[in-house]
Amino acid sequence: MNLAIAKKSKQNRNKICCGSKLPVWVKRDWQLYLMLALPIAYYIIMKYIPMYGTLIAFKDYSARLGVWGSKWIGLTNFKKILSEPYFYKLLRNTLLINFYCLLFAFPASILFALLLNEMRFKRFRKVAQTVSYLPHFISTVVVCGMITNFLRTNGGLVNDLIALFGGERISFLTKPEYFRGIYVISEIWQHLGWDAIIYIAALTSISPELYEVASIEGANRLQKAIYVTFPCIASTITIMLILRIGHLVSLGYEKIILLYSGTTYETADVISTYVYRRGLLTADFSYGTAIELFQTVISLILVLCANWVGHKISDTSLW
Amino acid sequence: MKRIKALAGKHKMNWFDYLNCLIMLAVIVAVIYPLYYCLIVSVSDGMAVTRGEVTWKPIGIDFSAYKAVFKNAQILRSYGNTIFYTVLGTLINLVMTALCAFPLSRRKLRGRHFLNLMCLLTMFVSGGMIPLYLQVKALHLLDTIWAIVLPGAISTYNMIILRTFFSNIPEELFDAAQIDGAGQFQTFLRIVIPLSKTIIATLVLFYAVGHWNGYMSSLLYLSDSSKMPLQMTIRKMVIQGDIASMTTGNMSGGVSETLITENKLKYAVVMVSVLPAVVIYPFLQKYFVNSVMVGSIKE
Amino acid sequence: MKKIVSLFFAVVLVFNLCACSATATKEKPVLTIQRSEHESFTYNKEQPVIEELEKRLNIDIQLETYPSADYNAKLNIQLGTDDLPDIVLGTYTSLAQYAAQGMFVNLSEHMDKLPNYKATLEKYETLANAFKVDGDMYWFIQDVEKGSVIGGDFPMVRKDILEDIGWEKAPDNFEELYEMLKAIKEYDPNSIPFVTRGTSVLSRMGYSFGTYNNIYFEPDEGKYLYGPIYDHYRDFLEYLNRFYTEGLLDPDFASFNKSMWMEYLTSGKSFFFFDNSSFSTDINLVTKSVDPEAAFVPMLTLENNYGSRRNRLYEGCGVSPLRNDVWAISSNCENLDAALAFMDYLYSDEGAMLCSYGIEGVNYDVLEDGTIEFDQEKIDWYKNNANDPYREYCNEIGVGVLAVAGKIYSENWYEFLDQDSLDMLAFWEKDEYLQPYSYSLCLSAEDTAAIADISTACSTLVSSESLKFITGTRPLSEFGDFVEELKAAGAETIEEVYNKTYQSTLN
Repeated sequence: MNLAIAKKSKQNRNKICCGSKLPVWVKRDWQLYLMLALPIAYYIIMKYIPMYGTLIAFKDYSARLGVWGSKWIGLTNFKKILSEPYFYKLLRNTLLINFYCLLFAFPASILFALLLNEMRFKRFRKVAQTVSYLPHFISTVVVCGMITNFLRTNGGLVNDLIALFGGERISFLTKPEYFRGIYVISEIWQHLGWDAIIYIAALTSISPELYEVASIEGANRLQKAIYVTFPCIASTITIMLILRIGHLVSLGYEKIILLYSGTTYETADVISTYVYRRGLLTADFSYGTAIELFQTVISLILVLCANWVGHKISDTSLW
Repeated sequence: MKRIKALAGKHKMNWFDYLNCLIMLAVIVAVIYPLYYCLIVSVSDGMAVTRGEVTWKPIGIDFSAYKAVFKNAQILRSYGNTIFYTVLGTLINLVMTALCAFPLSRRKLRGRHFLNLMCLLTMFVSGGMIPLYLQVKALHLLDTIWAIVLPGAISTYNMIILRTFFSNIPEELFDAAQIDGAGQFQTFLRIVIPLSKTIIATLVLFYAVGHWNGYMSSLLYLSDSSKMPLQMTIRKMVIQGDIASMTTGNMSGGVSETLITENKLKYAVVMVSVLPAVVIYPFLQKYFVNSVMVGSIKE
Repeated sequence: MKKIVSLFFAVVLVFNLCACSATATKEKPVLTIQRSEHESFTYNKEQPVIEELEKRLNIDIQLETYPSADYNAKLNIQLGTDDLPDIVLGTYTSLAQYAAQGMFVNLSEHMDKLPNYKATLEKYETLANAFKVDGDMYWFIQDVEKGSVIGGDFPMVRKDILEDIGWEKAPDNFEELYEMLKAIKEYDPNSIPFVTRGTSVLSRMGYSFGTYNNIYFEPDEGKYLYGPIYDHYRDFLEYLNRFYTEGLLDPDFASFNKSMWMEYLTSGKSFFFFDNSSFSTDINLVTKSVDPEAAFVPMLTLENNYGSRRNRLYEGCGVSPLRNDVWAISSNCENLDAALAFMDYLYSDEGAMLCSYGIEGVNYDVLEDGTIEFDQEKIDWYKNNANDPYREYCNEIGVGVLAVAGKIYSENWYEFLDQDSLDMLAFWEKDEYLQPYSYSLCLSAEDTAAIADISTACSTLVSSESLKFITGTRPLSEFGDFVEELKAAGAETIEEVYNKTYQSTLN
């Protein structure tokens, strides 16, 4: 199979080289463009054509009339959203929770990958790696059930420990100041190993020779980690970071709804949970799309900025 | 590899190694206990579970929750469906992602920036579910397996990961291939793919897990219950929607749930869906420890 | 690029054409029926009722079911793309705005073909009015006729604790309830006498107390009120604040989920709840396994501080036989006559019997005096082997509110119930203060749109501030400010909209 393709491509190549007057880049890269044909078709059909759906945000959408037939309402939805003072609280909470995740959960998985890499007992390392990514598979409902169980004031594991050391029991789940911490820590617990996989994969591509050279030059382990390991996975980290920054304004509702209550709205209520609660009253497609579009615009701005900075600093760019 | 080991062997264990072991141990404990908890709850006596007595060891071994899961007439068929969707879906994902990522990783490709941006944009801009549903319907994919595997054929996120990896492959390899007279496609198959086993294993994991756990596309696009995947069957059996009853205050009467088995069932389901992940990981793991790239440069 | 785009459009077009010519007509009309699948009810081929329906009406039924937790997501996308199956189940309040858009068949125009359903509607005339959208009926309301299995939010207390603390009879009003809980706390200082399922206490107990945490129908005034802007709500918060500060409520009560709630009730930590009474069956099963005397029993409706007594039943039982779940026929249905005939059959006596008890002579027999008799062996088997004999038997033959049914008879099931449940039913039959469920109104599309934001803003405020008042982080002296905040957010507009719509349903 491979051979056949190879032969054919050789023939084609010869034909093109001798026969036509195509530009050099076409001659050289036509196979690449051919490879791209299917993916680009995919992007156009499944991603770009459906993008007309964003028009719903500017229309009073009715399914009977369809996207095109519905009545234009212009910026009504956006005005409604932006004139609501509570919306800025939601936006702030969304950004802050995401920001704390970025600040703690994001480096945690990198650190975990590096520590695994430094692990000397191979078997122990394997076990740690395999086990650490398993929480990723536990459904959110179960995870949140466990969190509430562990953190409750009476009989919760954490409070029992606090009491054991003579501390005062704390009602973690009803105090707004603890919500972000609980959320971020549970995120780390759930996704530490899973997020580390990508860095572990990147670490395997580092040449052992580089370490040898470093040893010969007398570098200690810390120096090796800083001057050899880290630069080798820096581009992966940068890409991941830029993508994360792009998602600072979006946060799923499921986990938060299972963890928050009225007393913690102050820090826990985010855009998606508010939209969810509103959606229980009325399925308003236009409003939902408008919110999404708003988030999209912010995401794009954030990504553009992050990418620009990334490009300046480390010469890594998303495009 | 051996050399690293030998190298490491020369050094004595220092405080850092001990600390590292300690941290890893902490991580393992933090991760294992909740899983262990799921396991013991799922096999304990339902009444003890309801009373909240199960914390460290199972009480009154009882496998009824697992029996209930596998008693369901649809479960085996849907298990089969899920395996089929996962295998086919992952295969399509890999081919499409690689076809997209490789050309875009070549720095000399004309229009690369535009095409990259075009792919990237889709991560942030989307038309929403309604137009996509209409599109899937217009393509006559509704209620077919293609509705499950095609709309998500490429995850742009994974594509970027793969592209980043490809672009880190030393340029000399390509030059060498070109001198040997290999075409781009041949280079891709003969050189790039073999060098990328690790990252491909990673993507297999990412995609396969996505298919395994995914139910959204089957919920939206499938209606024939004989085509439903495992997750849908499971969601029909276990109350996942604590959310709804928390927010609205479940007012519908006359319908009670069997509370005693509910918790157990929930945890048994966790075990059933974690199991495959535990089984496939060791097979993929060998790709995560080998340094493939360097060896091949030397050859 | 343009070429590629146009090419794909062409391909799509060709696909469309092929599909149009491919659809062949069958002899038997096919009806696609969609509903949510409840966790305790699975659809399978062995259920005889669907087959029997197909045979009797000479149709082909295609049943499509989705997990109940995900059903709304599925239905929403179908409604949003106008791609509905022939017959769908949904909650009438969420379907109302689509009815106004013309997505469902207006049954009022087809009443001549629906004699049985027409009779049902006439029977419930005033009650059924709440289900109408702009005066027209778009759905088949599930009717649990002769409803006798009672469910609702009621006060329930562990009967043995009353003896332990030396009370001869259960509390009769809310102050006595407080005294009782305090006595329990004194008797067992480690207990948390009252446990709630999260913040739902605000609505469940609130109604009985004389208020509500949202818009609700106030029978004493005969109109809709937005509960939290009235002083009754303040009194209720103060009442709960007392509970909270004296340790009668758990410090984390707001974040309690169902399994934690169950744990408190079954492990002897809590002795009182104000919630769905039918849970007591399961709870008692667990408590009795330790101590045969420990069981939750109902209390008679409490008198509130304003001199009235009320507890609200759920929909679909007792005096509120209609359910919120309704069947609607899609406007795109190709076999409209078959669909109408099918749905109407479900409301005929023959259809109702089939969907309530199964096939005569196979699943049940009618005795000479008209009573219905089930196979005693089946009853014994289910009572010995099932957690919930009644529902599991329903599942086996495919009947009841969770199956495909329009009119359901829910009497005659007593033999499947355990003694506790029977006692409970007998107890409530004596309680004259049980009030009917108040069905939500179908607001017009404009009204729904107008109050969507107001309602969300108000209920957000209510959820967060109520808890602050209860836990004491905000002093009750600021209740006036809270009311002002609610009024500024538009709470009174909600009242106006509801009362306007309510007036129109009376005519």
